[in-house]
Amino acid sequence: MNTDLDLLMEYLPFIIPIALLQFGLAIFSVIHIIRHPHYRFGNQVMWLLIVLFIQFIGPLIYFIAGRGDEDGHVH
Amino acid sequence: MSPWFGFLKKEWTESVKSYKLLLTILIFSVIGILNPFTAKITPALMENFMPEGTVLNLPEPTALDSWLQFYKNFPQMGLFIFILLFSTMMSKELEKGTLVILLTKGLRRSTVITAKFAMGFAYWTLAFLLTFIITYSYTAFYWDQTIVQHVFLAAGCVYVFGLLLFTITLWGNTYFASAYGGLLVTVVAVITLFIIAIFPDSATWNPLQLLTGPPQMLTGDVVPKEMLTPFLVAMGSLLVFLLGTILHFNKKRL
Repeated sequence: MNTDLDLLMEYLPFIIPIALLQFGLAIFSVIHIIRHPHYRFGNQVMWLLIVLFIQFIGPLIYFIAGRGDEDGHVH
Repeated sequence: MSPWFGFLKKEWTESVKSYKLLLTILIFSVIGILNPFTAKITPALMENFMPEGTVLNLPEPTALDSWLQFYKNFPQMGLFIFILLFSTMMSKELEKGTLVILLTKGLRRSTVITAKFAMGFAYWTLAFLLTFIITYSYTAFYWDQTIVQHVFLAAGCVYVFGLLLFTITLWGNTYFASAYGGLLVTVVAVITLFIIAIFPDSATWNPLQLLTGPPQMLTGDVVPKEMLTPFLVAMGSLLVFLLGTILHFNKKRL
């Protein structure tokens, strides 16, 4: 157990920023999905699942491909 | 404010509003952190996943491992995502016809291309610096960096290659006026470079050398002088593609 803790401490400088970025991005995307309910394809539940469960790539796909236009037109 | 800076400002606002700034900062910081992280954790992972009793003599990771990860992740993942993010710069406007109003109001056509190029240039610089500085800081913190040579120069090569690919994407994007056109042209260009690289002689001038050379540069197997011709060829083709984009757009029917 002790060695596990040591190992964790050793990697903490990596884990903290990655976790922060990851959660920050996930939360930001969730807020965006809920506040802009227009998507190029798919529905809200699908995008929420993608954003929450696929780390980094999920939000990326949402913002590149899934996000509807600002004026709310659905393509 | 001159029309050029006005258009640049419009590009900037657009990129912020379409979350490109946010995504660029996030993705490239993550890549920057992942490089040293992967280098450091790989031996520990291998030990844990090997069956009980296997004797593994894995050497301790060094600064070189961290930089090798940089040259694996940054051009592959980073450059790919960057091209994907900025591949619709022209096609979006051409498809929607938003440029027509500006152009009829007297905006010069070359302004459009040069401002867009400048924006992509700035974003690529930002992305590169983010990843490089983060990887550099972590590597300097964990390892002794004196064993790697030409750290800055080697990274600069990848930067120039990324710029070349971005310019090719911009050209394809303008020429075919569709997002897929730009991507397709870029993919074809990369494949062509790889095919050329099959011939060993081409290593003296092939711009792809800017991508495959840097890891060897770190160990001193490739001297910076060998990079000069590929660099010049890359810069030359960059200018040709940029001029090509401007000339084509000047004649393009909107």
